[in-house]
Amino acid sequence: MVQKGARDPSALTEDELRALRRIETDLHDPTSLASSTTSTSPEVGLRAVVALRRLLEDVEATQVANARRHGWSWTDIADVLEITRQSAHAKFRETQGADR
Amino acid sequence: LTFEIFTNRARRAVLLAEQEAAALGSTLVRPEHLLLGLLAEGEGVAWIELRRLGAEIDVVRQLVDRRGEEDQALEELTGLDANAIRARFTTGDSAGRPVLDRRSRRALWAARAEAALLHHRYVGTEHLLLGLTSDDEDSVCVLLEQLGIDRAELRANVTESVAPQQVRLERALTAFFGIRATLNEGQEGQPVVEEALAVLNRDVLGLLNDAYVDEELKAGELADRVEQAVALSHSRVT
Repeated sequence: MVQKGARDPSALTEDELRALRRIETDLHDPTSLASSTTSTSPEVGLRAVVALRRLLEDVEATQVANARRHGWSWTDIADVLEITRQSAHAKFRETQGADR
Repeated sequence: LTFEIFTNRARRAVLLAEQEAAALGSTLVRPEHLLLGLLAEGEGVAWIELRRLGAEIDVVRQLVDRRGEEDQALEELTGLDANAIRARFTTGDSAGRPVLDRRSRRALWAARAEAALLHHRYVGTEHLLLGLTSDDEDSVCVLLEQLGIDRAELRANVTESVAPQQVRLERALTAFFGIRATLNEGQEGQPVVEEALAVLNRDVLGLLNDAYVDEELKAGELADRVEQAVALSHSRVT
């Protein structure tokens, strides 16, 4: 029983319903991302992703440390990294020493 | 999960989110894009409450789409050309459309859970907004912070707007438990207190057992009884 939905004045078009069915199908079987245009094997592709992730972590740690050396507060850093102040703290504190 | 229980507005918000993601050149529909979808909807509880606290779609779009400056920073630091990497190694679905990412999927499930908590049988834009903000680590919450919008206030406003009686009941129950704790301190066994509690018990349990269809109505009546019982306890004891 979809009470509010039934009262919702603006009905969806056929196209919109089709698009929703596509998204819904994808929710249950999320494989719809088309394969990369390159001919690399999945093995190489996935390993490259791991390399990127590790690179990201290393660069992140280094850049955060650099920001701290420049006197940036955790709040400043969290703002730019688009994470909450608490998670910036939790994520980097142990490796960065003193809080602020 | 099925969109059958989603209201037309909530469904359209999901479609609009897909468009927002595509317009911003993203391969994935992220929770931020779902928020943009709710704002692009231009009506509905989520839109009203977001607007009330000052969220403007253009401002949010600018906050979501920082790619220009980010790509520039990346190039400055490493010499990498993000655009070239994106063009070569990322795609949407087979038609090039963006696909809901893991966190967006989770937000849809969370929306359904939020609806269930309010005893609603449908998922509306209000539940979608609650689902997007159910954890304060959610990227949408970071976005709200940047907009100067208090997450707790937004959620309270949304809930109050769609389920005022349930919110009232919660407050009444809090008041009841408060007074009960006060009364119990040193006054345990006093007939007036016992009587007030007995009346409340009878009424509340009776109502809970009744087969009301409308949860709001039930919550409203319960809130009435609890408030009466609290007032009764107050007047008799003080």
